[in-house]
Amino acid sequence: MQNTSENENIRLLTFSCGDDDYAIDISIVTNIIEIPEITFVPMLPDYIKGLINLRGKAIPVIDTAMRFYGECDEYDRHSCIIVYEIKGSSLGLIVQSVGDVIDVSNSCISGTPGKKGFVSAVVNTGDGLYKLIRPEEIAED
Amino acid sequence: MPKFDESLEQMLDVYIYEEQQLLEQLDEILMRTEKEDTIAPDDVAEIFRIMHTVKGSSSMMGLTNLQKLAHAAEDLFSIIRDKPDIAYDKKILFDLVFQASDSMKSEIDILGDESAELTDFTQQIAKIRAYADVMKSADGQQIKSALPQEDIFTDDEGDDILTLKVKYAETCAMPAVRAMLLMRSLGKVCEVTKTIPLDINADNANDIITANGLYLKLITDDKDAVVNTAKKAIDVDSVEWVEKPKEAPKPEPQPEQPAPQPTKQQGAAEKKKSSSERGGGMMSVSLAKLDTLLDLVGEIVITESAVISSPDLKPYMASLDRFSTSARNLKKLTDELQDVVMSIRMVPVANAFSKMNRVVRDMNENLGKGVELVFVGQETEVDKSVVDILNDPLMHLVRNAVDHGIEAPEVRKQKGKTEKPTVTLSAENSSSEVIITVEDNGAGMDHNAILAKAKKKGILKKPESEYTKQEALGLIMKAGFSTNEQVTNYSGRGVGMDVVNQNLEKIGGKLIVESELGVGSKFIIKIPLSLSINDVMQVAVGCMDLSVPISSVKEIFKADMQNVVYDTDGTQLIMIRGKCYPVISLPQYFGVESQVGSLDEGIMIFCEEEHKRVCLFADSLIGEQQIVTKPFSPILGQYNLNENGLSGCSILADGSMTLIADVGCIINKVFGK
Repeated sequence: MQNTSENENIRLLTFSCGDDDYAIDISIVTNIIEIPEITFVPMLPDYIKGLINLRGKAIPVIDTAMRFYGECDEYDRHSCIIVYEIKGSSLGLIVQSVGDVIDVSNSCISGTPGKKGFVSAVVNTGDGLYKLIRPEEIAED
Repeated sequence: MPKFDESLEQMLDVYIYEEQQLLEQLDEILMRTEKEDTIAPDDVAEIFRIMHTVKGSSSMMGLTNLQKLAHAAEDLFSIIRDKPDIAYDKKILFDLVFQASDSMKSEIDILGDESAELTDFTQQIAKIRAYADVMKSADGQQIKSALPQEDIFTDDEGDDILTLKVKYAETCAMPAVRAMLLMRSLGKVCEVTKTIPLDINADNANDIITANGLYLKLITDDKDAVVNTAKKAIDVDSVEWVEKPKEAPKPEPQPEQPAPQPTKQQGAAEKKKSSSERGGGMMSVSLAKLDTLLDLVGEIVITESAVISSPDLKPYMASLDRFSTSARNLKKLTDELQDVVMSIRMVPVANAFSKMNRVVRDMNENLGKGVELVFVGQETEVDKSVVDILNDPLMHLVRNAVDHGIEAPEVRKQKGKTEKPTVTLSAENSSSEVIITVEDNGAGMDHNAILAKAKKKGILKKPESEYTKQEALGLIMKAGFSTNEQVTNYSGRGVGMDVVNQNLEKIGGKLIVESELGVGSKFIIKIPLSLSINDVMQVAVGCMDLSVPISSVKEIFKADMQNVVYDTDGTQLIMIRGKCYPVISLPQYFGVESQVGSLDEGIMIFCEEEHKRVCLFADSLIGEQQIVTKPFSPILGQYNLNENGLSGCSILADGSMTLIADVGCIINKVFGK
């Protein structure tokens, strides 16, 4: 996902969750939708809220706040689901709100080497700090 | 080394599909004509057309070995077509063509495999060519192929029209295509008024052009430019101007069009007719596209109902007369659309049946049993995927019937069986199933012999005397069972019936065996009409929406607390008609909070799976549904939902979702295997 070239620009989608701002590589994002009715599925971790019907496909959705902090956010009319594709399947992230699409150069991104977790790097745009998430990590238990 | 250019690779699927269809069609014609013992001119033309198409598309794919083989076979039939009364040995002819067809089929099967080399068919081609020569010399005549000069010029032709003869190299695989390209490039320097052959798109244009060259009628000011352009075209051997002969016109001029080789033209007309009669304008579409279409239509139906019954409309309902009318019309249309799309996937079982013709024919050749194969109800339609799955089981059953079922002719005589040895394949629709039977009038099976054999093999599960006839017959479907002492070419590996049964069970089908000693055996296959649609009972379990497949539900009732008893370990049991069955509380099983307090407030679903009977307890009944099962997203794979009693989910007509319970799995999970 991250290019080695220093001058390469990548495009990110920012969103907020809890009190923090996050970013996700926009090239894997397929939809941003309002929160529809979520079908509960038993025997899953708490943070997987269930399945949504997105144009005839049953897509699992994850409560991002629950996943990151272990506690639910209050959702309002700004809340939505970011649907992205990972390893050929779609996954939805319930987030408090989506921010903007930003272009950043690789030089603004400082990785967190060696550290495993949901955050792969920190992006400093000058206007703010965004935590770049590891999309594949979120789905793994 | 890859067999194809990258550009051709994407056409490979289509090519393979087409070729398989054509060769199947060829087999069909061969089978029929062999039976009738005469090859009608129509059939000759059809065989010729098939070989011709195979040749053409193979050369397009650059498969020269297939192209040459098809060419040889094509030539063989072109001799017969041009000289219908030519003498030939049908047996040799059929064997040659069957062999060729088999070779092509096996070659096409391994096309996708890059490690497999192209097979060398030189010997086979030589054989076919040799026989073609025998036929020709027997007739003492070579086929005349030269185009008579007179036909090139018509009387009403103006003097300013020039005639250009273009001869293509012998090696040029598709001169008609080259000719088309040539005309396009010639368009810049001249005006082509006519070509001979007239229709370079016709099936036989390639042959005519290769044999006689291509004649172009054109008007131009710059003769040299025309010749130069033509000479530059690919595969062009020679280019020359042809002068109009000075002789007097023929007594019977043909003003319409010159008819080069009248027989061929006639053949072409016949071919066209027969092919349009056959196909009625068919085309093949990839299944993936069809499935997308099916999904889309499903979405349209859902969206339509969302629009029409939108809560936003409620306040204005009284003033929505015209809207309601349009809405009703739309609904009618979408319903129809859905029906049509569903029906596209339906194909007649004849596709699977007709393949058996060949199996029986080959076995008759080898075993000399003279078995007749009879079809009943082959027009019965089933889902495409069902037909694909049917092929293997049918093959096994038919082989078994001919090999083991039908007795040798001497034995039949001894027994005084006068009727022809017959294997009957029949298909019929019952409400939600297709019933396919393979029936033979052969020896039948001795259930006592089967029992004895099974005992010897150690596959009996209870004392011999307790087996009913039906159960004993069912033993032949157990692994490692084969009653024929000798293993033959066709069957008797002892895995056949076992595999057949397993494959059918995998798709929700059943295999039932009936047999009467000395009279014959009957194998009945029952498969669901469509593999994708299931009938379910939708129930509420806490906050869950759960669907229980109706196939495992025996009855649904309200519990009476008087009938509920507790086992020593605390398990609840319920008495149904004097018998006790364990109760599995679904809310408890799935770890959700039940909306009802006690068993008598909810509902009981009496289920049976793998001979185990239990009562499932759920909060309330929602209704009966027809659903299409979707597997869970691979992302959820790590949570083993499938092993824990949920087989998938389904999206209902209103866009909501339900989870599908796997009753067998739940029972095993609770009570152990």
